[in-house]
Amino acid sequence: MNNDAHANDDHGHGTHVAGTIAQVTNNNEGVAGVAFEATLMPVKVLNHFGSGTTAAISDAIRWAADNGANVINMSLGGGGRSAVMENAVAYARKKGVVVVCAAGNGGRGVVEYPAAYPGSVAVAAVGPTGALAPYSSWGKELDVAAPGGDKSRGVEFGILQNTIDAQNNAKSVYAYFNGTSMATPHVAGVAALLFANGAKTPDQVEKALFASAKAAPGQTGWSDHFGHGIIDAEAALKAVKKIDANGELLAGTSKLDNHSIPTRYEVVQPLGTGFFDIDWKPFLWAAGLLAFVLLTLGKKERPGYLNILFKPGFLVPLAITTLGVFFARWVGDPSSTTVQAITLPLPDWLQKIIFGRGSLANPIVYSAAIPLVASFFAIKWKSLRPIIGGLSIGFAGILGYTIWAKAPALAWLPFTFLAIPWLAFNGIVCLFIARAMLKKEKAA
Amino acid sequence: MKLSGQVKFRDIETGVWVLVGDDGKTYLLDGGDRKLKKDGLRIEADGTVDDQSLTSAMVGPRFVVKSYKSK
Repeated sequence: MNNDAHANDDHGHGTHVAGTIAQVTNNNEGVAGVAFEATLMPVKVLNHFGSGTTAAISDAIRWAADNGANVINMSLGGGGRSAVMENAVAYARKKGVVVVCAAGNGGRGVVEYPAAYPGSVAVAAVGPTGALAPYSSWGKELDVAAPGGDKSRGVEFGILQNTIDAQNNAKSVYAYFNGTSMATPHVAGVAALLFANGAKTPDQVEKALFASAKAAPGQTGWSDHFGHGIIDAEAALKAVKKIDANGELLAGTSKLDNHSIPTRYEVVQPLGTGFFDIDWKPFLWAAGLLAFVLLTLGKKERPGYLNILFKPGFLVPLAITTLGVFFARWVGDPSSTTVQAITLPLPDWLQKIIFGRGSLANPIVYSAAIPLVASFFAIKWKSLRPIIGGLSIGFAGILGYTIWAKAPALAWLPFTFLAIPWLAFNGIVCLFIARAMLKKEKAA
Repeated sequence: MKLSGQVKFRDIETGVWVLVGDDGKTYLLDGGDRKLKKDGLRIEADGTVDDQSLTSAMVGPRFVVKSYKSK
């Protein structure tokens, strides 16, 4: 940047961020840094307005990785997805670098690039109470949250650091800033401490960081607002001592229940194309519930197996609801996002299409609403009944399976314990709809 | 590209000026003159949207103002 050999700050942002990582500390002066014995490698990639290009930043990532960086802090973001930059992040990580990036300040459910690339630690910002800062972006790519300040509560709730004056670069000032840029160096600083205290690989650093993160207020598991939680430097340093010879964390180290933690790499992996790569469990649930529904019907009301149950009109909606368009993986490209979306069970892909990535499961999608509305049409058009019967049994199967698999967090519901009764109630409604749809009308 | 919306100062990072567009998007303001930097000013502007750059503000794509008039 600026085509010169030094990386002097002419903007004021970078020095503030660097101060949070490695400010001269314990010198009875001013402020402190997180990893104050760390060595900084300032690489200037943004101009004096604070903006830069994908190409320059990608070059800088590779340069830093080649020149011995252990941690790369990128308090920057924006632009579209770039293969060049994604590869640069992957390259750095392969070389053993932890890449820490700000989630963004859009205050919306979209994590900016580079934070959203696989291999990057995406950081959201929390204010002084531990609640998500109003400006902080969030989403399914989030890894952790860290203090980023919240000046909407007053200037003193920003993050104080020593930097250059934005209007007069020769002047040194102490400034309160707030932003995900301020949160990111807290994480980068702890990452540096972990390398200095026994962590050998980025995997180990990330495991210790994530496992030791403390829950934000109201957080019960991985969340798209806080990732694994708010970083805790002291706990992270304890966690890194519990990594065994295989690089695995010892059991009991993690503070949060890990079962719902999505892996960052599942998105880019192509779908498996084998028979057992299909998740049959919701379908099996639906089949079990179908048997139950049939048993509740009297002999005269029971549908003939050949005239309803084995017809495509019944089986296809049932399969699409519980298995998704499962054969798309054999027809289309198994790594394309469309194929990955539609091979999910119907409620899951509706959820993705309507509410976008990273949002919490919508309770209306995971309810009896869709079969119920569809069943109104079957009052008039009787030929629709097997189709809606298949749909309802499919929904009942999904809802039953979801409960059995320990219920996802539903949006809007304030307590996760409400999710199970909600799913159970709607599952039963679906069974009633299915029963009504499959019931053979008594001959008049 | 023509955009209309409201100029806002957001105290994020080092402090940023944004255009809250009537299209529902937020743009990081760049270009124009000093008079543009007035919180609450409604403008109609001509300029280019740069959605390639990465910034330290991270509030949205840059909008480089060529000319504008206040409404």
